[in-house]
Amino acid sequence: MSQVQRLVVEPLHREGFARSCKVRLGTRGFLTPSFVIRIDSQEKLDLYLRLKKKHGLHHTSGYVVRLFDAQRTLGRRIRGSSQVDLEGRFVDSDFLKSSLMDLILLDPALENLYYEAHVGAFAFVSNLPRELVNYSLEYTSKREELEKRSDSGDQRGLRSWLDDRYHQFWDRLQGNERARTKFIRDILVRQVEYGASVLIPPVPLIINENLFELTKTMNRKSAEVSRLVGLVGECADAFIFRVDALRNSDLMQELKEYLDKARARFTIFKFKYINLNDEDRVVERKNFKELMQTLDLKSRLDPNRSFMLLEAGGLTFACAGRGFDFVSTSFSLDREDRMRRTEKSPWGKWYDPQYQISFDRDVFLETYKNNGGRIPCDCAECVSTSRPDTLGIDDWNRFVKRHYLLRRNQDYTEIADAISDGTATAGTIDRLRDSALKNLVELVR
Amino acid sequence: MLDMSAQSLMNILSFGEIKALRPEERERYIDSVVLEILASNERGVTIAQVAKATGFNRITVARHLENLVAIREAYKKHRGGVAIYSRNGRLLHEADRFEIKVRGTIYSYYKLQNDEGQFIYIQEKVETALRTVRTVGGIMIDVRDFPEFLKGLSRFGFQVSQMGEKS
Repeated sequence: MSQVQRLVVEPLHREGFARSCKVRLGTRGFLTPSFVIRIDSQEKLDLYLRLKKKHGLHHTSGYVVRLFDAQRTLGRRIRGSSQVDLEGRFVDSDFLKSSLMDLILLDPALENLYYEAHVGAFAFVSNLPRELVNYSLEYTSKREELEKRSDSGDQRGLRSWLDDRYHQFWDRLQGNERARTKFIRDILVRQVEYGASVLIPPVPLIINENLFELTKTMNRKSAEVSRLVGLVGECADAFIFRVDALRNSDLMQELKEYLDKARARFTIFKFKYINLNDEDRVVERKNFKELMQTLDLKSRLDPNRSFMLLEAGGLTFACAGRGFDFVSTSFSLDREDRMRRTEKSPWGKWYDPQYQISFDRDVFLETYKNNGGRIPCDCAECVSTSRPDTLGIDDWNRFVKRHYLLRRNQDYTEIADAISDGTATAGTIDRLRDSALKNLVELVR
Repeated sequence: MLDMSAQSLMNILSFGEIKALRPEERERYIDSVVLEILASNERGVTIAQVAKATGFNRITVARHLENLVAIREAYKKHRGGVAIYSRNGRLLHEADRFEIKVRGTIYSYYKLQNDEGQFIYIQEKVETALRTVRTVGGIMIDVRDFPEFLKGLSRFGFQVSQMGEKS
């Protein structure tokens, strides 16, 4: 007589260590491999909802919003979602439909407590746990204090302050079970308030053995606390690593042992700034492939388990269906986190489906001209855009975003079809060989 | 010995952790744990068994079990002076359920089977702010008595509507 919405996976086809499935979660149904877009503004949410309505996007199952972006991205839409017009119809029916049908994840994104780019963001969101807001405010005042002392700002001093504060923050949660439970409760409740369909535990970025242990504890305790938010049902396990974790065989072994015993049906991984295409990342590629194969094995032993890779960056194509049923990136291939301070151009980059990387507008226009005035992509957006060189900045930015989402959906649809035809491995290798991500072929072969 | 995976029991929040939750959340949490234990132990459990397995206080366990009996999520039998609590039956078929929502209250109808026979179970539920559905009341009617129950209900409904028209 339970009301809990549990994840049910129905495997459709397998080829090598790739699989396609039908995943059900209460009223929601998704076809995998499935792409999930990360959204951080109302404008991007509108764009997603419009494309979903117009094109169906059957292999794009929903969106991820970082908790510190949630208020500005979803706040107004949630408040307005119950408004009806004079005829009794919901004013924002697209959003309402999406909240019932899509996979919506509210990522606590607490790894940002370690990186300087977004630490400040936690201070400007209401209803976040006090500890997070304080952490963020302390960082800002420390930075200002150091900037006053020296013109260029004492970067090394700030970094070491942040390192200490980060460990202090998590040590407190590790040692104080009451504070930990309250923190978990507050984060999970915020996710429910913003309409999450699967809950993500608030876990740290794993930079040492101690934080890996804490991650396991946070996952287990979050599953318990999630009993309070019954209708959501699934509480995932989450792991956030730095890419160098892939060089640590002991850590990877421990992760596999945890996965053997874990009860969560949905497991989410994030490898910060993952770029496995670099020549010298041989060990990381080998271990990442092993992880994908381990996940595949887990899903064979228990088909009702599903895995997701967040902030997949360049791995988005190579990982689809291989170990990971759901894969997510932002519109700009997760580059904005690293590039925010240096990326000056307001013109968005165009994702090249052949090279699988994004190019500046100038490079795109040159390709477009050399290609006889044709855009080298057959997604609905590129087919219907006749003169991309005449687009103003706003139209251009909308164009590259629409293209990115439609292209990813098209790629994932093709991968799903290839898995059912038994040609996915060969097809993916061919596509990667033709791309700028040649070294990722090792992950698939 | 309770039938609930050792890992599930190991993960149950400690008393100190539960204290971090709000009072109504604590109640809901303990209800949820006790219900899961009942669901995994078809032959029933005693207060002492639940208290030992969870580490919750006996009085707390007894209060929650009695509350679950009151809203008919569970039932109680006495064997040799010991109260045995069991989950109130299981669905005969997945289709044996029906639900309506009337102005914020959800009424769920189930056809259940337990040691005593087959029953129609009507639950009254409310949605909480955290998108949880909480059972606040319930009634069990023996399937054999259900036609008589319906007759009584419609006669009473008619009587009440007549009174309403007169006034």
